[in-house]
Amino acid sequence: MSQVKTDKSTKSIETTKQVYPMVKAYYAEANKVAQDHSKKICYVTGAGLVDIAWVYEDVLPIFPENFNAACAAKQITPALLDIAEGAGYARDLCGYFRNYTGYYLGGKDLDLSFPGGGLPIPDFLMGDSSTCNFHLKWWRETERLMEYKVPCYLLEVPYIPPRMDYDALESHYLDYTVKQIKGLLEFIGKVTGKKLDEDRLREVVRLSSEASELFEETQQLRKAVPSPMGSEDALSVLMPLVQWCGTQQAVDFYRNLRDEVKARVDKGIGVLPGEEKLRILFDNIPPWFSLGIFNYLQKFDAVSVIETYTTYFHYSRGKLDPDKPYESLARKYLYNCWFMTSVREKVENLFTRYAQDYKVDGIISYALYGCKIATGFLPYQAKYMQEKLGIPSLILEGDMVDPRDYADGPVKNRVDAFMEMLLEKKNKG
Amino acid sequence: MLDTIAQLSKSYSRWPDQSEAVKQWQDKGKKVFGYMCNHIPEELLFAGGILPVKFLGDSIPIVDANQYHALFMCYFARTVVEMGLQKGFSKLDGLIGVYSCEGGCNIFQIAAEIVKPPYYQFISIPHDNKREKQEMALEYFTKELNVIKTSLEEYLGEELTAAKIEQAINVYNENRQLLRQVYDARGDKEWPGFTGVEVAEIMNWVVEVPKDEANAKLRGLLAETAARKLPAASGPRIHVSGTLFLDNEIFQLIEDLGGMVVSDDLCMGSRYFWDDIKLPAEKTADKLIEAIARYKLDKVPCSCMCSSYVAEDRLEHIKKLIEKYQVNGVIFAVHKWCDSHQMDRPFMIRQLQEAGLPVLSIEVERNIGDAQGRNRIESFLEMIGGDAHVAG
Repeated sequence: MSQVKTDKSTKSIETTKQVYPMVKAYYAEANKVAQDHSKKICYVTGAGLVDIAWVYEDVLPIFPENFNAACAAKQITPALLDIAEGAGYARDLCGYFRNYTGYYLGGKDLDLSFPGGGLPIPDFLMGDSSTCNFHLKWWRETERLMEYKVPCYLLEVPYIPPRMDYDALESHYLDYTVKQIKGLLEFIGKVTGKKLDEDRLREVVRLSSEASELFEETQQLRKAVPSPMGSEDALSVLMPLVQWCGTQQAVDFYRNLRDEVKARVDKGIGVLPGEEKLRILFDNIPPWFSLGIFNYLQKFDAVSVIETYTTYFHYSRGKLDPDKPYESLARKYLYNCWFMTSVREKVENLFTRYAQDYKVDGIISYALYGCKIATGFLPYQAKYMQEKLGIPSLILEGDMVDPRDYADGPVKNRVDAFMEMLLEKKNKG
Repeated sequence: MLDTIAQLSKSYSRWPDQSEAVKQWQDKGKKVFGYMCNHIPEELLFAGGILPVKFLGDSIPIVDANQYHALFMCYFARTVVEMGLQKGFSKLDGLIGVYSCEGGCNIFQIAAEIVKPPYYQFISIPHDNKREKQEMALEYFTKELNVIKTSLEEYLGEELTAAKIEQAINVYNENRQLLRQVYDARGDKEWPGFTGVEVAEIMNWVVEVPKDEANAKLRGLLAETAARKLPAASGPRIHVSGTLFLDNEIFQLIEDLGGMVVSDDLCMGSRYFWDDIKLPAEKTADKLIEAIARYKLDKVPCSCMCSSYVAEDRLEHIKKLIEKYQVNGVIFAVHKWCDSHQMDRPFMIRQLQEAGLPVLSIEVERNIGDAQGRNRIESFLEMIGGDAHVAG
């Protein structure tokens, strides 16, 4: 079995330390539920849709994508990836998909330390396409994998084309998403045998909104100089939003996080002990097996101050209205992830605004060969940012969970050169 | 190759700026739009007097385009950006795109940002559109097509009337029927009317020229080949599965090595024309556009679709063709970096093998890779049996 040496990260934020125990306890519960069948286990994929699962008290949502990221953090993915590829799945497919497929095609029987003891078998599947359509194909492949015995409902969030302004969605985009949300709730009702509780739905929307608002507040606080929280923490504290958005647990977590980050900003405490010389925007899904790369930047007095990935799982445009639960959720799913928005809107508005608001000196994009929607336009984006804003980009290439093609030494060499160039540029003013 | 088909080849170019068909159309004062994916409603463009030309890509080196897109995109799509940078689309009046696959979605938009055509539209198509989602997906996609209709009317300064749309649908439906006849002629086991290479070339040509003119030529071609006596192929009869190719190399290789391509489920093959648009009883513009939308959602699915049983539905289509054209073996020729097709491939291969079909899977990048591809195809054909060449 291949063993790949990469760096684990070290954190600055106390609240981050709560994440791992939460995840561990959650998986323990999930495996208990898988045994006693006290709840229906559903696999959720996409970005944001998990809140719908929390409307039903006897449903336990599991996010296999997180399982894959956790496998990568534990550096146990190579054996699982090998199995999937041996079954004919191309090496350049999404790493999450390959790792999960390898787990089910025999990997689960290997003597590996799986996060939470492994994935419990689902009773049903639900997913959305707000990050990519590949998620939907992944769930269709899961239907086959489970021999068509596990029912599935997919919510396809329409891609927002270049003709449409982010602030003026055409009504059929909203209508189509609302209809599917209703269809999904009806589907869960059928699977669980429970009637939809509209009050509970409104409550979940309220909680989803509150967690989103607290997280967005934290994101705004990160504009401060020096940066109070770097990517090595931000990417880890995303988990409760991914898994528990729509619950009080997520709200409590993000309140703690917001308070801690606010206190750091008020006191002027930054990630670095000394001067913060460079501010970096990290773009795309990170290499989960090597989050230490963010700490490595600190060698150059640089902090990765903001990420694109942390914008994708919450509603960042104000409050969701619990009295219009369907429309509110539709807006959340339509707006949350930039991948499903035109290249023009993504690059010229969303990305540009982020780079400017967070006063970044440089951009590191992680181009994922298994993720065409997130990666295809990155050189275009880098060119645009250099030519229009004078902000240089470094594009690293790899996969989010597959360390086999990740060459730590050459990656660091490239980072070294990029950082030196940024420092020189900054010194020249 | 039949002289008539060789002549057809001269009327178009993979580079729209060099295409005779494009020039002739524009000389009449009419517009030409480029598109990349079969999910575009060509009928609406044709109803407005616009010639839709499909991007075929080309077997060219990528020189400048790598600065605009990741290398992890299929080579076909990357050549589209390269052609855009090399002014290959400079004579086009418009570009019309659709989010079908994820690579194509990004690449097409980048090409459009480079070319900056006078007209540009991009639409979304529902990928999960069958069974419980069918009606809501149809309603949504019909509205997307109406966005195209309205914007075309604004651009052209004239209404796309029901009569014009119906006429365009009829022309396109006739084209589909004629192409099915071409396929039937090729698939005739005793007296094949066309070789696989010839049909590949017909397909390249037919997406680059006006369909009414194409129909007249196809009728003549079918009459000509009815009297043709091609020797029956005694070598393996092959079905090719995939998307499209940057040249006809794979068809030529298979046939040079003694096999014959008798069937396919390519974007640039049967999936382009296999089904007809069903005309509604009420011939209003709204109903006709809904009929186009229904056709696009109901047709043999591309692997980029995500409906339940989508790979199973595609497999059904392949199995029907295998039976109809008495196929001996299947070659999956899938582009490297094509997530959609790579994702469905293992399942489809397993199913075909379980049904007793020999299957070869090869990866295409710029092309098949002459020596290596040749060896693998040769071994595959030998394994199936037969050594006769297809004359033509």
